[in-house]
Amino acid sequence: MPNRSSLLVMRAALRVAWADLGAVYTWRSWTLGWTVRVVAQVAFFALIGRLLGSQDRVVFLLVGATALVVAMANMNAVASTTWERRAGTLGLLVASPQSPIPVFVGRSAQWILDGFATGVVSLGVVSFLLGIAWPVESLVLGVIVLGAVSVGSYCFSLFLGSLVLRSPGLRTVVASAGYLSLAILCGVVVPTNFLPTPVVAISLLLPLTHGVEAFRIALAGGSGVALGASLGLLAVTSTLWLAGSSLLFRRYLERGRTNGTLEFG
Amino acid sequence: MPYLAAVRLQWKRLIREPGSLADFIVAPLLAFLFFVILAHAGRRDLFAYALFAPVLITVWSRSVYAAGEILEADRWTGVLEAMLATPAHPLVVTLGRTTVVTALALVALVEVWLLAWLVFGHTFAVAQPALLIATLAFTAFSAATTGLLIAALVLGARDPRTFQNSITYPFYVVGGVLVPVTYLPDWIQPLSNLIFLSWSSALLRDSLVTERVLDAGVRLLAILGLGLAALLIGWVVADRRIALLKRNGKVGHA
Repeated sequence: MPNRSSLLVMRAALRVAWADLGAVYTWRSWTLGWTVRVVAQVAFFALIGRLLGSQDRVVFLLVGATALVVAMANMNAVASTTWERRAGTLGLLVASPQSPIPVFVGRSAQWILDGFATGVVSLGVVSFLLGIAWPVESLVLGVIVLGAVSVGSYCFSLFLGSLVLRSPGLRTVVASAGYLSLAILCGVVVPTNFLPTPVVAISLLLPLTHGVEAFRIALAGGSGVALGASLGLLAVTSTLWLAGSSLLFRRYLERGRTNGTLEFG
Repeated sequence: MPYLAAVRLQWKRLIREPGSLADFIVAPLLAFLFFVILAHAGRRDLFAYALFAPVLITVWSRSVYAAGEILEADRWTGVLEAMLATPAHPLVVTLGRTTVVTALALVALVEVWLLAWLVFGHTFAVAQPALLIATLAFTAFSAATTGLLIAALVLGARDPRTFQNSITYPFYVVGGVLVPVTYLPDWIQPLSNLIFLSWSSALLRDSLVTERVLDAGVRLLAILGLGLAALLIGWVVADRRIALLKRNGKVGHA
């Protein structure tokens, strides 16, 4: 259980996250730049369904692509994790009596909000443009599930960030390859059972796989039991990746303290 | 010649900056996505669409980002001031650099072709190889000049990322790089004609699968014409932006 100090540190880290979000985006750049791009991306994939002549495929790809842009927004955590190194604060974190984990977990949490908002806007706009109407209850449930998808995606991205901390120059490649790999593995564009069995085994370990499944069930008004199971697996896998990132953060800082390799920039 | 010197310079820079080649990791991943969607739907007859889409996306992405940031990056690093002092015209130098950045994107075609063969067991027979090569060459030209135009628009801009983000996927949709523009609403289709991607994507697909391609000459001229238009507009805009920066003493990033 986190103690009071950890919670205070987390709160401070969340303030940093909020400030970073304001530094990265203005309302204008978020709406006219980022949102225009992601809405077009979701529409790009959904339109493939029209090329295939199947409205079912349009819906399938729309739902998958919406979950994907939520994960893609959270991939910014890969880069923002390295900002701590660029800011030269790693040495201070090591010297602090407080665990660094709340810092790393909190300082990139802005992307959870960004991812959620991105997904909601994309779903709404592209559904409207393609003439897809969702039942209100399904839409509300779907939006709630998108929040869970964003949290799960953040946990996975934080793990990638903990790896990239060692080589910040790879952050762009890792983030791009990361989200495209998720698109392939997680049932975003085709059902996971279309992939080879060993690949399916990998996909089951990824939070987005269960997030996409839960999102599909929610929007389709499917079984509460199935939805609960998918959300449960999303929670379990997200926790595992979060734990993994914590382990890697600790190991990186301890090793850096031991052999004097903590660097700036 | 300044153009060739710039080409050599940019080539050497690309070799030394492997991170700038991230597009060549992204292209085969995108291709896999498109191929697997079509394979799952049992529509391998549409694989030609998936062949060229990642290539055109890579070409455009490199125009927007890698080429589009050349002048602004030079300004940040203090190189622009020195470049303006040389006898070589800065836009000739910039065009040489955007040529390398965008032409290299065509390497993605080899990656995607190999992916289709090795992973999906699909090979492509080219119905019109000369037309395919000509279309790729004209596309590379238009991508280079579009890179110059974007570099001009980004130079000195307050918020270049907003602009750059807004001209990626919207252009892939309107440009019909994967889904032909005929599947878009009628009101969008005239806009598609103003983007070289729409002409390139359609002509590349036709050159692959069609024995007799209608109006090939006119369509190639459309790609070339849009490239020349981008060159002209980019040249004028860049000249004016540079003149403004000189007047305001902001050529360097003080």
